[in-house]
Amino acid sequence: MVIFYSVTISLFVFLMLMSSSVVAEDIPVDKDNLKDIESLINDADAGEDVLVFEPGTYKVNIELNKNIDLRARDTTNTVLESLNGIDPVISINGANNVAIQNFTFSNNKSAIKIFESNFGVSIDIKNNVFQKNDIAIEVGDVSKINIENNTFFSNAQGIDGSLSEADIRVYQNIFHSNENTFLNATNFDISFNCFHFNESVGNIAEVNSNLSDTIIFADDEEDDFHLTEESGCRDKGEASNDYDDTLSDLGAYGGANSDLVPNVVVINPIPETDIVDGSIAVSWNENQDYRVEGYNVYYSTSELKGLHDYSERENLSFDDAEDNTEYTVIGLDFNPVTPNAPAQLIVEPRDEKLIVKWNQSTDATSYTLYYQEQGGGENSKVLDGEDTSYTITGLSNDITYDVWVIAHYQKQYHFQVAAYLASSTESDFRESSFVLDDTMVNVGEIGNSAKSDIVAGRPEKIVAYPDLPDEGCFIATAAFGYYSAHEVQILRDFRDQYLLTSKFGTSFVRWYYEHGSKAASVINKYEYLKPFVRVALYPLIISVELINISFLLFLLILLALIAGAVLALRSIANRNKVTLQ
Amino acid sequence: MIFRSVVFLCLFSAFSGELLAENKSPSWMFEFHAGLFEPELSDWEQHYGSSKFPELGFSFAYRFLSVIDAGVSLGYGKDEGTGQLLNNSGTVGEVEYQIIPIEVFALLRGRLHENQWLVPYIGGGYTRFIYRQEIVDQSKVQGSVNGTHVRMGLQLLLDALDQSAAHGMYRRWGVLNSYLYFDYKQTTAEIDGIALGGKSYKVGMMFEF
Repeated sequence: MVIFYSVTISLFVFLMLMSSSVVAEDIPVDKDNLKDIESLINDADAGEDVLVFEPGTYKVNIELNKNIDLRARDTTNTVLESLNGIDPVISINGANNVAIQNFTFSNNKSAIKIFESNFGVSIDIKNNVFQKNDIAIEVGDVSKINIENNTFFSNAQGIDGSLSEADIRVYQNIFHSNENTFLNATNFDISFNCFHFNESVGNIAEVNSNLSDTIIFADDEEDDFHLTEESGCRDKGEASNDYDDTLSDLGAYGGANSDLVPNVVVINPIPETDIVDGSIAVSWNENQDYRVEGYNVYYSTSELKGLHDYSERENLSFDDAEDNTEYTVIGLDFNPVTPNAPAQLIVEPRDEKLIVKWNQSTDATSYTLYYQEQGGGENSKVLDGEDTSYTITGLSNDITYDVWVIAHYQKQYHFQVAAYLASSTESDFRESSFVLDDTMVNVGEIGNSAKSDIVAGRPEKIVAYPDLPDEGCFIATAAFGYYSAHEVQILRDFRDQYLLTSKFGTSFVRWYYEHGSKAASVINKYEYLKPFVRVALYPLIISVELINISFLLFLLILLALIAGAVLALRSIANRNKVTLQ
Repeated sequence: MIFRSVVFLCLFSAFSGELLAENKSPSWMFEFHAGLFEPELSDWEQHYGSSKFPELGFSFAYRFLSVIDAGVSLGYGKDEGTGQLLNNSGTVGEVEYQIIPIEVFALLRGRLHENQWLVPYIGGGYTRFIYRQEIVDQSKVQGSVNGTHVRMGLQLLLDALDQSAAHGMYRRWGVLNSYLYFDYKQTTAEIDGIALGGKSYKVGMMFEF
């Protein structure tokens, strides 16, 4: 009976645990799908999932209101900046158990702000670089914050605890060249930190295992805050939990949570003289990170981008250059490859144009399109390999042209160099990321395909269906909106009856037809001109209508207007005289 | 059969509508609509892929007598298709065709009182048919032509279905009556022997103020 109950209860407990457990998941965040970051946070399982950022510069204002850890795989090259330039990059409000680690926060007004919370809070901020921020970390009234193994460089304010009465643990960090390292640090527990060139630190650096020491970064001007061979603050932590089982280094690249990813390696430009039959010499500057043990030179005939993880690199060709900063890759194949001739060439006629299309040739890196009048001279146009269509313009509708295309293949080699730490293995991959753009060189002769089929084409006007008349858009039509407007018809009648019956009038009409369309296109383009042009045209239209009705009447009205104007001017002049007297 | 059913419903709604009698009678109407325009030209589908293309528009009208409205309407339609070579057969290129019919119309509405559920109508008027046609990468033409149109349809008084919403529309927007309507229109317009008109099948909303 007891056994029965025991088994039943055990089974029940097991089922309960199984039903409530959620498999923790690393959710990748790529800067190309950054717009989804809010939904990624919303969809993540609180307390279980981790958002893992791929290398890149992210402009974000993240509001973290649930217990989701944020982590990057490459501290140096995962940079977070404020999207609106004002609000904190990460605001923690409502979350009470989160970790933020392995990021670089650069040039922000506020990098991380932790708002007041009523819950029991445990927030870890580990292995980040804070550089050139107005405020690196602002802490609200929360119960427990752990700020561990971060590098604070050249910030106006390091850690601001003026809103907080919480216990803030500041442990194994590096503080270098900050103006106000701490603000209102009454409740801070500061130990095992390294200080160098900071203002207003006081005597903190001399107690609780803190120290002042010379810190030499790998290249702080290029945002590389790895420690060099000559730097202090190495192996000065409390426990032996660095990657090499020594005492922890201080700063962002020490301790158990350091990313173990050296900074990227940039290859120097490869001169043509270093490309010799079957071999290419590659060089780069030494990575100053003291942990770097050597370099792998990757090469491929296709692009080398992204590919940060072991699983993405395991099938790539590479040579171990050990700790050298130049290496010659040998045994490369420079022989040209002949691509297939472009197929399915189509020539579509247009008015004084021919549109040429063809199918992509395997391996083609570029094409040359040729066209010539039948029996005439040859013309050509070189096109990039991505383009499989081209419109030949400036042709005559009376001539038939022959068109053909040749595909080319230029062999290319792409290179990346990755720095590696000691004992980099499949399960513990310790190589630097690839740079965004690989280094590419052209090698060998260009391979040319055979000619595609020669296709004849004759440019030809296209007629729309239905073939509607264009009513033109001269000045009046443009101003009054349509061709058959009454006012436009009046002017048209005047043209036909008076202007075209005299030599001078015919010349004027010819001049007007030459230049009027330009003015009309301006009027059509700028709609607000139309009322003004209409107002300007009305005296002319009224005059023409009067002439159409009776030329004598027009003359009488014109004389009356002139007489009226003269009388009005004389009246004004007399009034002014009286005023002066 | 359908015709007889509609007539029966209209008569039924005309008498039963007394239950919803309102005090005010509207003077102004605003309507918007969307639907399909089917050009008269027989080869339209061959060049544009379908015998119809979308059209939308709106109109204002004023009630002169209890059963006669007069107003103006502005529409817009657009279709995209291909052209043909000047000297050879075959459809090529891209052609964009746009129409803007501007109409002045009068409607005779079979409305015996304000709250009639179903209101049939018939009417017509003048059309200024503006067209614009672009052969992509080649040329554009535009113009306009006079024409006429006749239209007929059936209006369904929505206030009868949801009176609280109807009161809300009146309080907030001053709308006395809201109608859903179905409209058939035949436009006739011709330029250089080319028939630009066609049939329109539309659904719209009309609001009376």
